[in-house]
Formats: sequence, C-alpha cells, structure tokens
Amino acid sequence: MLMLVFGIGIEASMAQCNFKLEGHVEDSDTKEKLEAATVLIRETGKSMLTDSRGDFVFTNLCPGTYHILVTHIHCDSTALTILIDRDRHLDVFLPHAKSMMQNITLESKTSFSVDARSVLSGQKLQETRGMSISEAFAKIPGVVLLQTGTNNAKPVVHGLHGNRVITVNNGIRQEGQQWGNEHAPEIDPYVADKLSLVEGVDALRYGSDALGGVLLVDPKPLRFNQQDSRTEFNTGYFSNNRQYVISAIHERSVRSVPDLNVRIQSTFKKAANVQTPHYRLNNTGLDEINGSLTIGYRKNRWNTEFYISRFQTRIGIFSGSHIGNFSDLLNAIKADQPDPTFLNQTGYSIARPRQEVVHSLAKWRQSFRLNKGKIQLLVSGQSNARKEFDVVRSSTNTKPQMDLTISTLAQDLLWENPINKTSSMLIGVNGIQQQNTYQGRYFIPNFTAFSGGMYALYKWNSKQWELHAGARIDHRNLSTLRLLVSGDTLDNRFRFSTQAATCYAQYKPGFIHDFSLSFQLGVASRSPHVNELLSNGIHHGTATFEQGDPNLRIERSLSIQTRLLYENHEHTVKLELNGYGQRIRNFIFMAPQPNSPVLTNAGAFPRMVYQQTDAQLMGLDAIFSLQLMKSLSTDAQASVLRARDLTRSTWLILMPADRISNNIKYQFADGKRVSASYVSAEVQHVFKQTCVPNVASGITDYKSPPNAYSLFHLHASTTFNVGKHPLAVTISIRNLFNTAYRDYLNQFRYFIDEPGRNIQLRLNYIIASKSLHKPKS
Amino acid sequence: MKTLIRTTWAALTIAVALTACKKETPETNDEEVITTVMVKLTPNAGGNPLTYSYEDLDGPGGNNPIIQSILLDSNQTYAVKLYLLNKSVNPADTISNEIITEADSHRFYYESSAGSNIAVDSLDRDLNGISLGLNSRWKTGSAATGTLKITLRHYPSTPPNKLEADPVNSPKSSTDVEIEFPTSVQ
Repeated sequence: MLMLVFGIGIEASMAQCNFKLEGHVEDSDTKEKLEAATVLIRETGKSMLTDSRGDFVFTNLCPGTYHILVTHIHCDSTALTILIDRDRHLDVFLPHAKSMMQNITLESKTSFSVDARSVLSGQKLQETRGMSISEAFAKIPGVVLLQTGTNNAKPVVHGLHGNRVITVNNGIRQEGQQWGNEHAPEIDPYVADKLSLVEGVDALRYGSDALGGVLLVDPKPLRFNQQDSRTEFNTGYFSNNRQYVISAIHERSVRSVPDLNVRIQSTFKKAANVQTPHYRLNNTGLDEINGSLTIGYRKNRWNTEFYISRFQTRIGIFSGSHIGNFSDLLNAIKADQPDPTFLNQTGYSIARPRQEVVHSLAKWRQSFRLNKGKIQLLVSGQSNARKEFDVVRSSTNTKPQMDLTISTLAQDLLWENPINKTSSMLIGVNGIQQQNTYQGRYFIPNFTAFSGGMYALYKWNSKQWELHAGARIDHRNLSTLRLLVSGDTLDNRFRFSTQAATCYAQYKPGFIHDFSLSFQLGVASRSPHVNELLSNGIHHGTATFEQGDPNLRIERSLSIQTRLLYENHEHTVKLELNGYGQRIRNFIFMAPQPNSPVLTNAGAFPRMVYQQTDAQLMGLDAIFSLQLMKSLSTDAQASVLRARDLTRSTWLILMPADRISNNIKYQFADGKRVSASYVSAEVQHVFKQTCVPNVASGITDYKSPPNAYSLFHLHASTTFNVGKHPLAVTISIRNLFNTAYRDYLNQFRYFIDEPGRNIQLRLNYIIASKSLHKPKS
Repeated sequence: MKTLIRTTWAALTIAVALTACKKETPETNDEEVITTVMVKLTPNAGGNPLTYSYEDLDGPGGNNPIIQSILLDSNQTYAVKLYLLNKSVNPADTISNEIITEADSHRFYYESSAGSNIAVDSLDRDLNGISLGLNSRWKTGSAATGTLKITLRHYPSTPPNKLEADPVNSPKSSTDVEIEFPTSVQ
C-alpha cells in the first residue's frame, strides 16, 4: 500500500484551541470529489466523513503537529502530518488503489447524482439503520417502495421492480424468489457501507435484463496491512413496534500474517406488532438473525477474498389480511378499518400467516494483477429457502403451505484492460446454474436454468468529454418439471437469447463551474420469468387466481436518460435534473379477465393472466440543494413518473405517484467534546396517483388510489467520545404528527393504514485500536 | 497465469457437476385442498339416505367443479351430515374430522334461495354452544326449484371470537368453502 507521509516538524506554540482545519479530498486520478472519505486525526481520535463535495472541517483544534489519516473505499489510504499554528486548509489527493474499472462506482460523478447513479452512504445511511435494506434504498431519489403490509418491502426503480431490477450483494447477483411482490430482498442492511443505484453501461456487468437498474450493496473493503483492529457496534430501538436491533462488526489483521484480514459481522433484530395511528396490527412482528464472515488475503499480485453470509428472518403478516375468496376481499375493502379481532394485540409472537426465509451465500473472489490491468474470477453459490405459512384449518399443523428453495451457482471471469491514460476496457464472461424446487402448494414449477453471458465495456474519459459504451449477450436455457399428483409429468423447455447495449456521453464545458450534461441511450431485454410463464394458482394475499402464459416473448426496452448537473463555485447551490424515458415492447403485466372467473370450492376468484403490451415510462427526478448559511442547508427533491400502456391507450397500473420532499438541516460547529452534531427536519409529500387505468381498458383496481399525504420527520445526531472512542447518538422521529395515511404502492392499502409515529434511537460506537505504525516526531 | 486458468477450470467443473446431478422432486399436495363436499341426507320417514356432492378433483383452476343437483321429496324432514374430503391424496383425507377438532374456529352457513322451499335448522354446536353446522336438519315444503349455498367460515385469530350473531360475511372470519347446489323439491 502506498503511504505518503509529509513531515513538517515544528514546535507547537502555546495558544488557544480555536484553530480550524478544513480541506478537501479528491481522487488523484479521476479528480472526482470523494464523499465519505474518513479523515482521522490520530492525536484527538476524532474522525469525520467528507461530505458530498469531498469537504471536511475540524474546529477547535489546539496548536500542534497532527497526524492525519485519510481513507476511502476506492483508494489507498494516505497519511499526512500537518502543523496547526493557524487555520489551515488541506487538499488531499488520494491515489487509486485499483485500476480504473475495478469498481464501477468509480465512474460516479457526484454522490448525489440521480440519473446514472446515486449513492447512499455515511450519515444518510446511518439514518436508515434498523430499517430494511429496501427502506434504505428508498432514500435514493427515483427509488420508492412496493410494499405488502408492514414488513415486506421491495425497491421500485423508476417504476420498475422485481425481475426488472437486479440487486447485487457484495458483487454477487442476489438470486431469490424476487418475482413475488411480497418477497423482500434477503440482505442484512448492516453489511452495507454503501448502497448505490447503477443504470447504464456499468449495469451490463450484472445482466442484460436490468430494465429498471442495478442496486448495489457494498460492504467496506477490507483494510490490509493495518495492524490494528476495528470494532463497530450499532444498536437501535424503535418505539412504534418496540423493535430492537443489535449489530456488530469486528475486523482485524492477523499479527503473524499481515496480508490476511478477517472481518466478522452479525445482526439480531426483533420487532413486535406495528402501531398505526388508530390501531395496532396483530401478527406484524418480525425477527432476523444474520451473520457474515469475510477473509481476505493479498500477496504480490494475488488478491483473494472469501465471503460467507447467512440471512434468516421470520416475518409476520397482518392476520386480518387473510382472505378466503373474492367476496371476503370485497368485504374487507368496504370496511374502513379491520375487525377488532385482528387489532391491538401487543407482543413479539409471530403466528400464521408468516414467512420464514433463509438466504445463504458463499463467494470466492480471486484476482490477479497484470502489468496492466487485472483478471478476476468470482465464484459464488447461494441458496434461498422460502417457507410461507398460510392460515390453516388445523392448529396442530406446523407445515408451510408454500415451500420454495432456489439454489444458484455463478461464475464470473473478467479482464480489465486499461488501454491508456484515457481509455479502458472490460471484458467478461459469466455463467449461472440454477435450480428451483418446491413442496406443498403449487405456484411455480421446479426448474433448472443454465445461463451464459458475455459482455464488453469501453470507457474513454477526457477533461471535457466522457464516452462510455458497452454490450452484452445472454443465453438462458430453462427446463421446468412438474410431476403431477396423477403421476403425469408436465415439462416445458424454453430458450431465450437476450441482448443489451448502452452508450453514454457526458460533456463538461469547463467554462461554467461544475456544469455537466450527459446523455445515455440503451437497449435491454429480459426473458420472461418462470412465474410469468407457468404460475398457476391462488394468490392468497390478493384473492386472485394467477395464471402464466408459456408463450410469452422477451421484453425489449429502449431507454434514454439525460442529466444536467450544476454546482456553483462556492458549493452553495447545486442543481441536478435527471430525465428518463423508456419504451418497453412486450411489457409483461397481469391483466384481469373479468369474464372468466375461476370457480373453486371456496367460491369464485378473479382470474389474472400474464399478458404483454407496449409500455412507455417517462419521468423526471430533480434535486436542488442550497447552503443558506454556513451551518444551515436545505435540499429539495421531486420525482415525477408517467407510465402508459400504449396498446390500450391508458395508464399502467401500480406505478409510483409523484412526490416531493424537502429537508432542512442545521449543522452545529464541533465543540471540544462533541462533533458531527446536527438537527434536521424533513417533509415529504406524496400526491394522489391519478394516472390509473381507465375503466374501458378492463384493467380494474378494487379500490381507487388513496389520497395524497404529507409526512414530517425529525433527526438529531451528535458524536462524543466515550472512553476515547466515538459514540454517535441519533434520534429520529418518523411521522411526527402521527398521520394516518395509505400508500398506493402498498398491497395492503385495501385493509390497513400505514404505521404511525415512530421514535427511533440509534447508537453507533466504533472502537479502533491505534495503529502500531507510530508516527515519528 | 497458468494457476489461474487451472483454478477457473476446476471451479467451473465443480459448479457444473453440482448442478447437473440434481434429481427431480415429485409434486406434493396442498393439504389444505378440499376437493369434495358431500351432503348425506337421511329421511326421517325412513328410507335410504341420499348423497349429493360438489367435487373439484384437480383443485382450484384446471377443470371446473362437477356439481350434482340435490333432489328431495316434498314435505319431508331430513337429518343431514356434511363430509368434506380431500380426494387428491390416497387414501382420501376426511377434512370434516379436522373441523370437528377445531369446531370453535369454524362455522357452516346454509342459505337457501327464496322459493326453494328448503328450510335448514337445528345446526349442531361447538363446545362453546355456538353453531357449527356439520349436522343439520332440512325441511322441505311443496315442490319447487332453487339453490342452496353452503359456506364454511374459518376464524383465523386467536382466540377465534366466534359468536352466534356473526353473519356469514363477518369480518372476523374468512371463507374456506363456498359452494352452491341447484335444488329441486319434488
């Protein structure tokens, strides 16, 4: 590792402790401002994360010589020594540890960019601790939640979700039953140090089917050759559902083998029933126990990483949502609130209906540094076991009614080739073998799938221009097997070839300070998933009979994105506009068949059949940030989306409503004992979704979209030392005024209100043992 | 470099070998399925019992249920027993036995259409003395045709809070069975 040490040894003079050290951290190669770089003053033990502009400020420093360590996720650390005898300014240029394309997020322009990508890390991520990974993702502009009740949420990116959004956990494409609206991604959010949204060229690394985008969950990279250990504790307590969560990460080098680094992490979470403003919902508790182990070894040109993780959860589903048939559903919808039988129990117990999911992942990453560039092999295996326990007749029945296990093996081999100073190339091949089995109620068949893909990305960056292009092809062989009760077999075979390509251009004229304009054009295609082809059964949550269509064709999309970014010289004004449009041919969706209900022994169920149409999605995300005063800043965001069904000439169902939000934040100056203190208030307004399918289209909803709502949230945070180590305390109040509301994208909006006021307390305590590299003085 | 290629091949081979030898899992049944509702009517006046059924052997979806018409004598009283079966397993599972053990969280409702001239009463009761309805008494009037709807409601919450006054569409319970027989009193 590269260590740059500047030594300026001058005697400290006696003076007051009121000096200021401010500075700026940049990537020395890309000149990108580095957000979330850690700046540590060893002598005081104080550390700070740089903000979105790469800036940091320490105040109330006493005169003297300080040793400063600057670290960032994508760069090698840099150690500096600085004399403080007056207010000082320090510009830090971090050298790239890795070649240009090792980590795609290097291409990130700024940390708040909304179009090509957005990143959530540092303080903003800290404010989501204790929530689910989806809820954390929803802090990214353009990402909203699709929910089923209180505990099941999945991210929706620019109106698309499920199989159209790829979630990548620690470099591995997450493979679960993500097709289900009530199947939340099975990832421990405490693993993440950074969450990002990737759209465009870099998304091609993960598949040709990311019509909505790619969501990345990245842990902190291992720190090599640091002969110290680091332990981080996170705890949280939420008042609404009496949720408590405890999470810890411990990381250390092995003394005798300094090239070996080990990190162990674990989380435990438990929550009781959720309280809405007017009633408490029975059976909405959840628990979670997760753990992971990372072992890294770096020697010469070799870099090896093993990662294993296990995520295990039990999720209660509101007991009043159990619907026997269609007339039950209509009755439940008619009622203003659920029957008191299903309300106001407290306690942590979880009964039926509930889900139990275990997701295990093992990964081996091996990279070999060439004289120029790098070769990397990534092999992973994961298993996702999902059990769903419906309400059953017999109380002695302990079996799940739906039991799906999907196992996936994946191999990814890539070659990074930095051609010259301005351009670089990445070529990769990828294979996936997958098997799905089920027991109990039929919903999707057993299947085996073999996929292979190839991709090539090229990037050319100059001072004013950035041109990126990439292409990918995939082939998927899918065999489904059903051994019917009668002994008959019902097998299907499918072959799909999908392609994707993206071009991206960014122009930065330079004569206007920090102004850039970018444009992206892409095609992507997604093969129909097994549930869309072959599902056949009652979907209990919605009291519908869902039926696949084995003749579905590949979904193909053409998308454009354009982004404008402006920031003034003083960093006090920032504007970001991201417009996007996507045209999807053969867009797969569920269409109700009002004239052919399914007659069963439990009455008639509306039939829903997977169909294809041509769709068009157009939207805009805007962010405007303003530094009003030195310590007072405000952020405004707006997201608008219009999604059309072109064949039926109507709106698409279940698309996010327009929303605006504003955040105002007051940052206190660091005191002698406390640092990083702030208070902030946030208001969020979600409009009523008025763009819904018209009656003539035959696409019907059971209930018209809920009314618009406004929510207020407060945050306050401060950091002080407890026994020489920093303790960050954050208190948040979500839904301050206990507003009763329902959200259009919650499947349970037919029955229940959203959660009420929630007071959240979070503690974050980091014990970093001091480095053994004693600075010379 | 050579080592890398070798490791890659090894990994790929292991991966393919692992997936290639998985076996097919036979389909199991949804044990919650009720394929058959059988009504057994024994005339009080004597004579052979009559049975009629509503049967959907392949469960929800697929083929439509086969519904028999209930034919009864006029001005007659019948002792009626319901049988719920799952015939998709061998031997058939008698679901009505489960309902007897969980009587306090289940309830049958009988709704005969106006003018069908069938009156249902004397439903049996659960241990709390609230109607269950696996056994009942049907009285016929003069000749008529109509329908008779039989609904089985399930109270999923603990405690079930089942009350005599609960209507068939009570928000406390949900539908397990809802079938309609054509009836004819001759």
